[in-house]
Amino acid sequence: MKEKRAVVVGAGLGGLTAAALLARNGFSVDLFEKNTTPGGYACSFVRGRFEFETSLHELSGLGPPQNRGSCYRLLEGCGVADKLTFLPIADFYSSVFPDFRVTIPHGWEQAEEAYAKQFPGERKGIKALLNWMRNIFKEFEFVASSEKITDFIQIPAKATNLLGTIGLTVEKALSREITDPKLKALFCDIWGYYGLPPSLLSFTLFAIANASYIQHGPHHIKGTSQALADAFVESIREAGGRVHLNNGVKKILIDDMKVRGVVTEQGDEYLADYVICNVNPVTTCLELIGTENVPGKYLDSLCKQRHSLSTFNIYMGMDCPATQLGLSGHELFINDGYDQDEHYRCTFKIGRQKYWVITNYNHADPEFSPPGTCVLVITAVVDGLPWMRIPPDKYFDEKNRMAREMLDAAEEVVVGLKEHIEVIEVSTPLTNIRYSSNPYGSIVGFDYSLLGSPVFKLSNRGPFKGLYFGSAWVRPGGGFEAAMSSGALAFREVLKDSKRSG
Amino acid sequence: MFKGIIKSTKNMLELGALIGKLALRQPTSTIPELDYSLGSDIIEKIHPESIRVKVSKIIEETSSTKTFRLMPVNGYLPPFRAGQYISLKLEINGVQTARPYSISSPPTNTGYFDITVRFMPDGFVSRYLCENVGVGDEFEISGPAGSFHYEPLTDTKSLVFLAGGSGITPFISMIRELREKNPGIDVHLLYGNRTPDDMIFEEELSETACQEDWFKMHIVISEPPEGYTGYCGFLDSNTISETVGDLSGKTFYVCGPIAMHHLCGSELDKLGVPSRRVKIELAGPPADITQVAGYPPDINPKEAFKVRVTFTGKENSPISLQASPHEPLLNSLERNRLKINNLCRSGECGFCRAKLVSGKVFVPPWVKMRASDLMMSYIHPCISYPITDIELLI
Ligand SMILES: Cc1cc2nc3c(=O)[nH]c(=O)nc-3n(C[C@H](O)[C@H](O)[C@H](O)COP(=O)(O)OP(=O)(O)OC[C@H]3O[C@@H](n4cnc5c(N)ncnc54)[C@H](O)[C@@H]3O)c2cc1C
Repeated sequence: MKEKRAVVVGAGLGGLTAAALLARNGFSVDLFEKNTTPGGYACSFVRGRFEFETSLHELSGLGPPQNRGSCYRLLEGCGVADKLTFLPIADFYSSVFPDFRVTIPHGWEQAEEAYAKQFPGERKGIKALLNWMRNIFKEFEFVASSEKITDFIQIPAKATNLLGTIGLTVEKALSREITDPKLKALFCDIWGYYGLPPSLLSFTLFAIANASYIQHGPHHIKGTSQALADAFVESIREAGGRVHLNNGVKKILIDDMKVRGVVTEQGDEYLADYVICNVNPVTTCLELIGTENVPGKYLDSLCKQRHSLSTFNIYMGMDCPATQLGLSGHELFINDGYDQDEHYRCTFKIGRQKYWVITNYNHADPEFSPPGTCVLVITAVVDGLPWMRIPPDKYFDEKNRMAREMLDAAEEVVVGLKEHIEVIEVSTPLTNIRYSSNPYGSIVGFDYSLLGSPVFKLSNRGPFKGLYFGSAWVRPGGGFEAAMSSGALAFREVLKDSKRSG
Repeated sequence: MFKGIIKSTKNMLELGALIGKLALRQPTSTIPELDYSLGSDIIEKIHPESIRVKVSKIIEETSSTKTFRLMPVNGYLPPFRAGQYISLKLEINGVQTARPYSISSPPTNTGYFDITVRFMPDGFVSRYLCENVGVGDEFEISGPAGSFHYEPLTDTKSLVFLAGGSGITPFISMIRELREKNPGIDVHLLYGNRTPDDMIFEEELSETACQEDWFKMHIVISEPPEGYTGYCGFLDSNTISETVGDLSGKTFYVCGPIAMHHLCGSELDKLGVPSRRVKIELAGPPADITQVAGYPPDINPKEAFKVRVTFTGKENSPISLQASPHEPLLNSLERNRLKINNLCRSGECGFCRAKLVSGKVFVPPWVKMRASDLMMSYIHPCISYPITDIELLI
């Protein structure tokens, strides 16, 4: 039998997943990554005596050993689960609002209890809302695992809750069951993870993603998300695949509406029957293929989507333990008020934000940094566009100004913070662009508005025969778990096509 | 049940409306439409990967030190922060290598980057630069990198610079910038040298000390000639507390030979300066690895180990070479005409990262490795010394 050749472009989580599955299923795989380390956003960096996690706050879908979730099963299928140690995080999230502070644990009953304790009058609505989300999640898992026609024809009947959410924003959905604006704000306080405020965010996505955290509990990874990326590389190599680092792809070769292969930055041509792009589809069309070669209809479909928010991060190596600063949990979401639309509007401006999160990485892993120290990260979701308009010679000034304003804000919540920073590093949307090539430095690809809900996301099939996408920008979307699933979906399409062509 | 049906009918109506919107292509929110600017232009302006430069001037600083003025061939240089370095890429007798050099000109000079190089008799690159490079020669350099710069977010406004020999280069950039615009910072420079003749930028520094009341300087000589009347000794706790006086509220910056980094680090600790007030520049490989704590004592100095290197995509033609246990692996690889990505050459940036498939290397204890590198056995050849035969995958 002829060897089936596949090239994967980009070693972000989607690319790594696709490459691992292809290599383990008999394909000859070459994975090209332009950076020196694999992982895309999933990586770490070292400054002084500290190592920093670049992106991962909470990994969803893992589940405890006795009851693993879909993300764990995917990692198992890729041969990476047993190379890693997962660290459970006790709580789902903690919120600080002007007049209360609450911790929401994971687990359906526990979460319900915590919400209801703060808002006893709305217990019924809270219960109904959580039940609804639980059902949506169940149906989603059924849909996601459907492979046979006999499964598919059952979807309309079996997934009524899921299908019913398609036209709903989070705000609308919440209004059906709960009324207090403060409870609503608390209920969707992790909207930043999904990059849109409740008034614009797809409830389908919110329900599935939150359910994955509530049901399976959030996790972190020993050795940061760099260990996750490196474990994928190990697995790909064990299965005979080749991982080329420091060697990006500069051109995808198309012949007669069919993929022929790629040309690498080092100038080598690699021919392949299947090219899976982890690089976002915008850059792929504009730079790697050339818009003149892409069908107009496909470009149109790209134009219908909008980018999601990016991030502004302050990474801090502290010379004291977190407890000394009064921080006990994994992370705290800080809100200046309850109007999340206003918080969202603020993300279009460079400066102090009204909504941000501070994460203490030593909570999940006490060995995260040297004894007596800790690593804290302040993250604010912000739009990338204003940053792209700064004159280059003003960049450091603007970055420092915003960082100073955010540190002042943080000092109000975490008293003594500024006095204990030993190492500090600030990243902006431009940093995200630099290391991922993602337009606007978006963290979850195209946004999760109604038109960008998992149902309407761009397909994993590209505009040419043999071209596929596996990344945050296509189905099912962005975030660690979704980006990996996307790689798996791309693999599934390749597998189908390769079986068809024998 | 009934309620459920109503709900889903309502949802279906909403879905219908949505599909209608899609068909009419109406924007669903008020945010401007995506215009697909990829941002690569601004990234290229702030963090270019590589810049082509031409030597426009060579300044003889001392008998053993030269400043090379590098002008961008295409006329544009990115902004940088005083104290940062660039990596100069060059080819010497067929060996492709690179070295990090601090930028000695201030960020306020936007037309060029100066680098100041001390001639080392056995320095492969410094020697080549000082002896063979002339005006008009062209090189590739990396964009500015490194975190050894004034950090307005956390540093106090009272700074003490501890410089040793050619370690003055990042400081001169900072001092020059402060002469042009000073946001209320005062600087005390302790400049250690072996002999008075070794001092670089002596005139300029003395002049600055006379003219600027925010700047104080002490020159400290370790091997004074007969009759020398200035301050003598090392940059140890005595010298520091005698010259600086009250240490509280001050931020210390250290740049010089590795031995000095370690000395200053432990002396400042002894003096009770908290680690968040001490910044030490990256060190590069030590002069003599065998003197480093933990280096295996039983390694024969004449020994060379076998290194087998496989490049991804060229699995069928691995390369074999010999490497000395006394020199960073990266140097041995480069000497064998292999081209390896690198930037800091100190073990921090990870550019040269390679998979250690088998064998053992020694890494100086001060190098902080990523946890995942240790777990999955990746090394940074720029600061790893082979102590057995090894196999690498790059
Ligand atoms: C600060 C931050 C915090 C986050 N926190 C969380 C969290 O807590 N939980 C969560 O689930 N998600 C989180 N995310 C989101 C998540 O990290 C991303 O959605 C996900 O990692 C995207 O993966 P991807 O597969 O799309 O690839 P990307 O990470 O976008 O990587 C794309 C890769 O392609 C490479 N590439 C680009 N061009 C080329 C080329 N021409 N040739 C070769 N290679 C190329 C890039 O170098 C890069 O390695 C966070 C993101 C950020 C930035």
